[in-house]
Amino acid sequence: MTPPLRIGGGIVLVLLALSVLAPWVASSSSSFAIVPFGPLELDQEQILAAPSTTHWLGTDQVGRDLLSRLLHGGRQSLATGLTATLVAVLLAALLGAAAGARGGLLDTAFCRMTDVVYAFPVLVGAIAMLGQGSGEDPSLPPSVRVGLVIGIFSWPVLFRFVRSEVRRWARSEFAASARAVGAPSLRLALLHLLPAAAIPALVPASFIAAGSILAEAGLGFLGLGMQPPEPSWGNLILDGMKTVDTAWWMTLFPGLFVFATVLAFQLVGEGLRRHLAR
Amino acid sequence: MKPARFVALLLRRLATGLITIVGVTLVTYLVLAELPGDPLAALTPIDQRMALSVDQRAQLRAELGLDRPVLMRYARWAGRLLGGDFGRSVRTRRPVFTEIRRRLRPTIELSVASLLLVTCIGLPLGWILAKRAGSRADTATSSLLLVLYALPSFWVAIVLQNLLAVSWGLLPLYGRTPAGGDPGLWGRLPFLILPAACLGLHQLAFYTRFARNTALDGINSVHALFARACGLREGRVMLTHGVWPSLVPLATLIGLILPSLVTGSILIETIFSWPGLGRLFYQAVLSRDTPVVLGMTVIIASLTIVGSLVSDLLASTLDPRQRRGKEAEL
Repeated sequence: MTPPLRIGGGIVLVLLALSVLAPWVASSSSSFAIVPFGPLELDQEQILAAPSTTHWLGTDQVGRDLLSRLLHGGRQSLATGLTATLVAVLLAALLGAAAGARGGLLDTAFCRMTDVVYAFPVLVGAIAMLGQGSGEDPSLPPSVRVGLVIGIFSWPVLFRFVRSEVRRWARSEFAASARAVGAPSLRLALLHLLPAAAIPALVPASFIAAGSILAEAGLGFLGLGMQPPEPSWGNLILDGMKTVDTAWWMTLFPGLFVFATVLAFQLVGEGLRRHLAR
Repeated sequence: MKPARFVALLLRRLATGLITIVGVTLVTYLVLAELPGDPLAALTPIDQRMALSVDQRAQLRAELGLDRPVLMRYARWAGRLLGGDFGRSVRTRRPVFTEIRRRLRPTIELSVASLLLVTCIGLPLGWILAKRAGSRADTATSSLLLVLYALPSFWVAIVLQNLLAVSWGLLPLYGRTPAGGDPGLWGRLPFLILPAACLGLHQLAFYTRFARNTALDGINSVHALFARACGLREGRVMLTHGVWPSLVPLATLIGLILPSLVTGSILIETIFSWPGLGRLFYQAVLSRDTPVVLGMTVIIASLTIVGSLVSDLLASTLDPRQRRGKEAEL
């Protein structure tokens, strides 16, 4: 375990725990509450209050506790980021393994398809899709929907990585032995080549996670992610910008949460890279 | 590389690029045309739409060609595009091409300014760090760069805008020109500083790290060792083995970040009310201005493809070692 991996992994775990437990940790009705305010509770006495001992990170325009909103917002933002990463990893792993193991026409077709998706920067694709169909398809929670859209546009980098790893391992001795005992190509690709590529692929995957969190924040800021009053880090930054001249905490803290999360995922990626290089 | 092979390679790349652009436009067209929502909704004001009879709606659809299959509509749109006709904006009724051209200059201004900032600060900084690799200053700066890379640039933009423009009044708050009219490039310069700096934030971190690592590899190489053994002065070794080789991959990186300078600016342009392509795209998406969205998609996709082509060509022109590998790969 290299230091970056330990620090990054630690931050990610803490943030994940806080977000998963947010309904209990930040709630007025829970006995475990560290922050005794719900994310939607209004405190008429404390409108745009600066950070204090009661409201640790201050309150917003209608007197809602910012820390509580940030913890609940983290649920949405992390759910979006992890959904996006999961979608990207699944797409990249399956397509990459198929393209790398099979080669030939299938490989060419998948590579051209990747080029098409790669031509859309994540934010552009996501803005176009969410802007066109925003509010539709209520069957999915919004955080998952946004994550899906981000994931659909962020897999090409990982696809190229998996493909080249699989191609490399396809020439290895264990692949040859598997073929020699008659393993069908699907089995070879999924059970032998893909696992060999999986651990190194964690490095680009954690950078995709970092990028997805950033993308979610950007989309939320543009008003395309979670819709208020439900908080997400992106729409909290947007909220903050509206009052930036009077209430600095409203802008500062949401940004710091995004920054810490992105940094943590990048540290995990960097730490893994160093760990694997040893 | 022999000229004939070079031309063949170029043609092949152009052909695959063209296929990709066709794919991109087709996907965008299908998504924008077929996904939920009535295309008529964007075209007619809501009060008129309600008043339309079934016959009138059908007539309107026929006029717009919406009664045909979507693939035929795509073919017609693509055909016009080849002739340079991007269609008309639904929102402003002006040709899409005019809309894009009007926004092109501000975007290029912003991108070039940001690239200049990034290269003028990032490259020398990277070289200095390579020279002092392992020192405390190097470790500190390198960690700082990692931190810089994790900052959401639009958030930094809001914070800096509030500090430098609102609180301290050092720089203009937003816009591209002062209210009184356009004072020329020099007068616009203060307006350019903040957006350009925020736009280049991530690139700066990336470039500096890249320049540092390539230069470091260079001056630690056997070639550099030999040069020193021959009695070359350290400055000369740094120049030929550190500085020069680090320019090659960086030149190619410029090709790769070309599209991100346009798209990364969606957020920055929104915050600083910069009248560029990023905002045009965003406004078009919000107002469901499909012709503009399609036109912008074509431009962004083309930039990505042209960017990667240019960077590959630059790489093989500047670095002879890359030619053989590239040829085999392509």
